[in-house]
Amino acid sequence: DDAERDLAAAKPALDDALAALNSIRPSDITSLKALKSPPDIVKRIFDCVLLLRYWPINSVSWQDVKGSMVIAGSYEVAVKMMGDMTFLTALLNFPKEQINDETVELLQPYFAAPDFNYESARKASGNVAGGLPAG
Amino acid sequence: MAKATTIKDAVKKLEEARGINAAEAEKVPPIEKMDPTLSTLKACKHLALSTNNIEKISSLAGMDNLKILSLGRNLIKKVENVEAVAETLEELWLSYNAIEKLSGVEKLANLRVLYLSNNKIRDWVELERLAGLEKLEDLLLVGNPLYNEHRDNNTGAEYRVEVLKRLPNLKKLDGIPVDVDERDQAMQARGGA
Repeated sequence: DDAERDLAAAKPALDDALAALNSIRPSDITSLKALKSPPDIVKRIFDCVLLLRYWPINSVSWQDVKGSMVIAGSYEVAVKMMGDMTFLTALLNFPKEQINDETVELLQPYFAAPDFNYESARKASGNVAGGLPAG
Repeated sequence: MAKATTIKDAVKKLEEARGINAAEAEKVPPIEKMDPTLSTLKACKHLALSTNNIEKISSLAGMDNLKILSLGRNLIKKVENVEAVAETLEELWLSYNAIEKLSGVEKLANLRVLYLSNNKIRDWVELERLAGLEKLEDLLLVGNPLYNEHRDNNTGAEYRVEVLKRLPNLKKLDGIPVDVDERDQAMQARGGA
């Protein structure tokens, strides 16, 4: 029936997301924390993690990055989040079923940016790009 | 920084991008300032104004079919001027604003869903204002001072019972379904059977 077909369609996306998470090592986080000012796209990736986890985020402001208007990342909060030793475990155990429609809408302006994809994030940051759509 | 987008501009842009007539559209993407142009969105069921710098809720009169009002990540301090949509509104999404008090919400008699994560709610009396909303079943308070205090003191279970004591009809709190045990505990705390 409909529900089972939808479930089957969603399964590959979930598998991809878990594989992406599993590809991130604690050492990736350590090297990221060592960067004083990470690439802009990395800051925006972490905004998405903050929103999914209901962490605080700055009020919105937009900036021009290579010709497109994108949201300025709340990186100081992300640094705080990465400082928690259980950060990666918390992501692996993330309660996917608790994501609501409001959160999805709050993520949309990030996904709309033309550079917000796996390729450009990987170029900028290596493994921390995990979880972004490929291509 | 370019000057703010008006609702008129945004509606025009939306119509061009999608080849539609906004007055007949059911969903509208983010815009910056609420103004009376909203009254032309007669068929709109879900108004998406999240991720902007809106300071005040206003100009909802004429949105005769509005079910979901989405205003997350703005600069809103109060729930005001919502009477015009009280008859139809079922979901109010207001996470990531600066709301301290919930007066105004009690007018939304048909509200089922209220998302308020990361606001400034710190007093139980604010939740008591919602007690008359009989249809309210899904409430999100993560990231408010009231929630954080209990999380930091490891008293999350007590917090849930305290919320349910005041709002016994809730089916979901902070994304997690309300279970039979906590409902019973809340009922006992209320002095019920």
